[in-house]
Amino acid sequence: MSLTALGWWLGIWTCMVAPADETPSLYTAIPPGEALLSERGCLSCHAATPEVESRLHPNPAPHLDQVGARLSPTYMRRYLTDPHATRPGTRMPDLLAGLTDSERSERIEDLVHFLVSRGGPLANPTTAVTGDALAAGRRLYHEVGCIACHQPVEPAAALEHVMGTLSAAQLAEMSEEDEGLFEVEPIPGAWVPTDVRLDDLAYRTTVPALARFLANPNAVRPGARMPSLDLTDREAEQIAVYLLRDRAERTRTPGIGFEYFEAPFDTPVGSFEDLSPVRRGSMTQIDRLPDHRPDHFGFRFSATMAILEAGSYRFFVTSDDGSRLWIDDELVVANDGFHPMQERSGQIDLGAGAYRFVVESFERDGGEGLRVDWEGPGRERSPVGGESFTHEGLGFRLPEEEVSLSPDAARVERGQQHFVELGCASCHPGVVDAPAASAPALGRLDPRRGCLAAAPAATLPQYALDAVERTALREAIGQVAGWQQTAPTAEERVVRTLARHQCLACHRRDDLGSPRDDRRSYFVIRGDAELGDEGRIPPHLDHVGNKLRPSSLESVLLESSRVRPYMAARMPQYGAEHVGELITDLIAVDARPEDAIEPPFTAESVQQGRQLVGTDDGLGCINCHTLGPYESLGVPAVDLATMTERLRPGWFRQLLLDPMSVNMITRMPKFWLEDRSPVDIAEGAPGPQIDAMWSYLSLGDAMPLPKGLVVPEAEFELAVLDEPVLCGVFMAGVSPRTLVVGNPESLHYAFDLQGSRLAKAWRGRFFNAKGTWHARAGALESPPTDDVLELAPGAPFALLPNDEAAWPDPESDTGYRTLGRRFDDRRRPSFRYRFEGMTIEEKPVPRRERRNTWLQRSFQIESENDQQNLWFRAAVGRSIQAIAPGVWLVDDRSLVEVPVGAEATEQSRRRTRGEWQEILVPVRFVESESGWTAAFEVELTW
Amino acid sequence: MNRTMLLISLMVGIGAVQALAQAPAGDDDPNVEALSYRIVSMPQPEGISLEVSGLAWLPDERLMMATRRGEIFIAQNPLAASGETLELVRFAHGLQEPLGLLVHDGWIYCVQRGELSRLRDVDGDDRVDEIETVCDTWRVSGNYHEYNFGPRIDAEGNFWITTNKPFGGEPFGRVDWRGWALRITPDGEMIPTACGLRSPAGIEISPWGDAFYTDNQGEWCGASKLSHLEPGDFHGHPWGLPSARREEWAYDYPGDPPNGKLMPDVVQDIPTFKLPAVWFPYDKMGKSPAGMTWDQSGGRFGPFSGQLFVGDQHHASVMRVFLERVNGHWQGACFPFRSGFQSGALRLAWGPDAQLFVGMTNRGWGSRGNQTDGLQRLEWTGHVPFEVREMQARPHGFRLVFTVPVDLERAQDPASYRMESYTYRLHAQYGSPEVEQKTLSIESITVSEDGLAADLKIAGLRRGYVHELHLPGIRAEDDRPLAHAVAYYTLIEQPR
Repeated sequence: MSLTALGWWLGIWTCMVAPADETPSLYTAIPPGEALLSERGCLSCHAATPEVESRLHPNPAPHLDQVGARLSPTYMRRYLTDPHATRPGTRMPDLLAGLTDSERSERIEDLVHFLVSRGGPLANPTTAVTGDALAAGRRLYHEVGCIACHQPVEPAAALEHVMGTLSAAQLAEMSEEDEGLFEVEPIPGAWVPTDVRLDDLAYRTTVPALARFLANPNAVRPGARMPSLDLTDREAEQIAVYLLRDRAERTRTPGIGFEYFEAPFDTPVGSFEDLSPVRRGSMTQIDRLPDHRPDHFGFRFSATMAILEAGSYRFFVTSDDGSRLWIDDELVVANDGFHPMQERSGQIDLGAGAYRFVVESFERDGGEGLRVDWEGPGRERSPVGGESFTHEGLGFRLPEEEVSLSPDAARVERGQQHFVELGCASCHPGVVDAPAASAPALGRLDPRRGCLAAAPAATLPQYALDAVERTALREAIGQVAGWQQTAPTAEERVVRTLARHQCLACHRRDDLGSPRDDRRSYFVIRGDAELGDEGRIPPHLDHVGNKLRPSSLESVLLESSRVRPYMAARMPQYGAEHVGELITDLIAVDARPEDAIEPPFTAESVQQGRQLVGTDDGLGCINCHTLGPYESLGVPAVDLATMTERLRPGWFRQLLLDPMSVNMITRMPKFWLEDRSPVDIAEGAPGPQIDAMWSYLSLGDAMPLPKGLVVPEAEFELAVLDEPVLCGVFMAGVSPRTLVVGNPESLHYAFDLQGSRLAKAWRGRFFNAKGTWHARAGALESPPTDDVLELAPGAPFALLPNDEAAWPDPESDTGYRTLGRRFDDRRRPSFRYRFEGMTIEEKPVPRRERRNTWLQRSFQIESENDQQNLWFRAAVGRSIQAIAPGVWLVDDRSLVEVPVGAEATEQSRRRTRGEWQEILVPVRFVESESGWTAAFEVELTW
Repeated sequence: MNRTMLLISLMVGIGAVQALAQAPAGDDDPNVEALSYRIVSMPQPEGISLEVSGLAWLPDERLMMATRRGEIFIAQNPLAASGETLELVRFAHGLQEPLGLLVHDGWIYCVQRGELSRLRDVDGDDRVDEIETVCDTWRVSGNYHEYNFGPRIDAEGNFWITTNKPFGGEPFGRVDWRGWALRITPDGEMIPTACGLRSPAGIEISPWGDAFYTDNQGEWCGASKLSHLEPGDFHGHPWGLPSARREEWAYDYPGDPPNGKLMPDVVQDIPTFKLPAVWFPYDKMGKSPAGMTWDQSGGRFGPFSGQLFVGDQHHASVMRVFLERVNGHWQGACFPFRSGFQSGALRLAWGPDAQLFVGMTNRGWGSRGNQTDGLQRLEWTGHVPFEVREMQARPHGFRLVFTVPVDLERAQDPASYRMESYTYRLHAQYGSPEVEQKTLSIESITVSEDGLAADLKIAGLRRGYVHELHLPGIRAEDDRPLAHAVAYYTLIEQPR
């Protein structure tokens, strides 16, 4: 073990004092004793005022209420016997130092029984996995960010092709390699031990228990020094398997193993010679193909088949393309060739015993599939698999003697007493009811006595502090009274938070931090995006409170949002309790008010911005940046559609004006050389051009697509560019005469031409016409998203004798007559129909402003006479609430804004009919030369 | 004649000379068709699906095309040279499967699934500004097969459309007026006109003002056919008969068709049952007749002026039909005419200089030809093909009229001819075999002195039967064989 407790504390110390020859940084200004007070749990026994607590943000000890389900009794015993030797750097004091060996081991045994009784005993199932899971865990451990704080197991160079699979032999090799690989270089300001090696994990716990912990570390360690890396359960298990690899054993597990190959397979008999598997895995039965690429692949399934009942067995192989089945090297079924799903079978007499079972299948191109069945004595035809088939894999299980312990009631009771008496409960609350610690309050401590005495009494907790630490703690305790008066500034709080959570292990801020030299090469790009260091090293945090909007800081820190999908390292999640304040502090420290000013938003600036973002006669932002669902023309740099949502306008301006000024390593070019860009907008001037781009980008998902963007060629996909795109369809739930209208604003709708009704609206992708245009077509279509706003059913207008009268039944003949449609100069349709001597025209127009789109429905009505009792039904829902005059919230989902007239008779009103509520708007006519007219608008958003 | 047209005419002339210079073509040689009628290809621009479902000329000699995808294009250069790409302007899109086009009175008429519509470009930018619903009295079940065809306008200004019957699910419920011919008055009123239609892919008003339609073989339609459409008719398919009980239908309920009777006998059960003008024997002529048009070129398209040309979607071909009125019934003969189009021939329209424009698609049904869709045109090379121009019914046989004088000796030899007759059953099964087949013998032959006509006296003619005539021994004066040595006469009425 290359790292000792002394080492890492010294590391911090040196780090904190190291830049002394330069301007003292904020990090060096934090008294190291503060970190010790927080991390050593001093406040658990020595009460502090809320001011001091909030300054120190103490790191609580792990929850032990379920510890029995987490740790093996053997490990508990070892750890309690000598905490500092077992886990160097541990902050748990030795509480049993003053006892004789026999007393000590007796108490420990009692404590272990007690702890095992908390949620235990530890379940010890065999976790069976394939080499794939181990390899995946190895990749994840080294890629997602674990190694920022923990020691890597393997040199980065060895991990270049980590997608493969690991054999038992490779495993053995690995464990020989993993000594002394890494120099210890401290993380600036780190408050907790870094580079803790995890070797002994394998003796502590099981795969399922470790996976549970990794998936949600904060549940056990509320201090969030070990953050969540947003792992899926599967990823957590893979990492657990890797970390516990010392316990891996070759096992036989139920099921059929497979190897997956990628090759042309263009000969009628699949040749697997000289091929290396791309992946391994297992299936419980062969009733389908495991995951594969579309064409040109093969699978080899193998298993040991146990035959209990002698007799004649028949095997059926149905495959597309070819396949073969062997039993102990005897070819039983040959189903070679290129063919659609085709069944072949073969019979074989088998005595009781074990046989080697192999199936190979391959696919050249076109459709593919595989199914292998068998039948035999007492067995009806069914897919091969089940308990008769086993294959080799890796099994993880702790030796029973390390786990087995039945808590003895007497010992449990004694253990509980010790737990209270020794003061364990002070740091580990929630396990038993215990009186509060009786130690003196922090402010009244004599820093030269007690735990901090040069040689603490054996009855006191033994923290194994060295002289440096003691000095630091003494100094810090001396300042406690002062802390009462002066709270840390926002800047100091930022520094403390970054230090406490080791943010600087990955990020740089104020010239400190970013991955240490021996770790940089573990930060990699997923896939083959060529983005240099920008693509793999987490971004620096200088002025980040001025760069990101509060909502964006929040989503990155608290909502696991991933802005850079290409970056393998993940942003750890600490929880609002720990980093919530950081958001306001960063804003307070960094944000410049003038950078919040948004440029004017006009239709013209949107148009210009669109040109600038596009290629051809623009600056070509889309050459490198993705845009919503669309790939860039080159590398996948950060999504343009989210820019204005994430960034503050002033920072964006600065980035564009001089990219290197905000990020030294950026590959983003500077477009305005000598204050002019080549684009002929505003004479090339940067100010108006950047503002125009901001306006355009601020449309977010509603951006009309820029020139040059390559829209993926999904067959029959209707892409909307400059003008509305229309398609007449049969629409499910609407009518067989439905017109879907796609708009450049990315807000689309379906209009029922038969019922003269706006039926649905949705955002994003418009429509794929395959069902209507392919083959004989005639499909019942639906919008391509689940997020569809359904509008009120039935007739939009009705003549009601009074406002209590029922709205006409949607199934009834409404007396509407379709008149047709017209197009305006921007090719937007309006829909015309006749009803009771009136001509009604509805024009749905998407409207947009920054980061928002809505639908405006304009109605024009001409009538031969003054209709007194014409109503418009604006909404129907199960629950409709008034938000403001004329503004209604429908089903907690959509907002409908209707005209507000001066008189009560002109107000929209809500009425309840059974389970439904509806909003009715009275229509008022004015006399005109040609008769009577009415015009109004309804706005709709969701 | 503008410059382009002059150029085209010159090229046609040159082409004809070149064609004539080719080696004489034999009976089986497809070039025998090309010798007289040349197919000119005009590929559409890349990325445009031109599944032509309607053709109409604009007054400025640009060609308007509706497509099955609901678009209407204007071809700016429909007379472009062979192989030259069409320049297309998209006039409209978002229509629901318009399957016909008509330019009338400053409007573009088309029938969509749910309505007869008219479209107009108000500001002259070649893009539609207004779409008006002329009539949407009928409803739509949501079944893909419920196509509507037309409109065609008659002398009274009524629009004729035909409606397909559904096949399979009707997600919005069964609807009326499927399998009907409907007239829509200029005011938009719908007049149910004839029933019993199956898959009536072509409708046309003849030069003399009568309406005809083509129907596709299937259940209750023993063979593909061309039929005269008159108000009150029942054409054989019972699907749409429930609508005939509605008050909008001004006639009696026709009655339920007997299942399995010979076609000529159905009239005993249903007096309004209309036998066709021409049956197109299955596969011999085509499999799916569609759009049609009468040759009114006065000879500029060759020797068939006054005759009818019918596109066949499956065979990617154009068929020829001679019609005559016998005892008040329109009937006649069909002949193969020109095959080899690139896709299913759905719509036909005449160009300004008697070119026959063929709009094509084979989506969903397949066709000969290696393209899925497109536009081609057929031009007469100036070479007169040797064909049976007319086959007329006579009291005791048929008169054949040839396009060029025949070799008299051969024409007078009964061994040069072969005739058989057969009919079909009206039944619920899909298509009918040829039944009640009989070989007929040619009793005597009289050839006119000029060699252009031959009267065949034949015993045993049967009314309600197809009379299939082969002329393997016939040669022209110059010893050419017939370009197509076969004719199919549908003898419904026999002259007295």
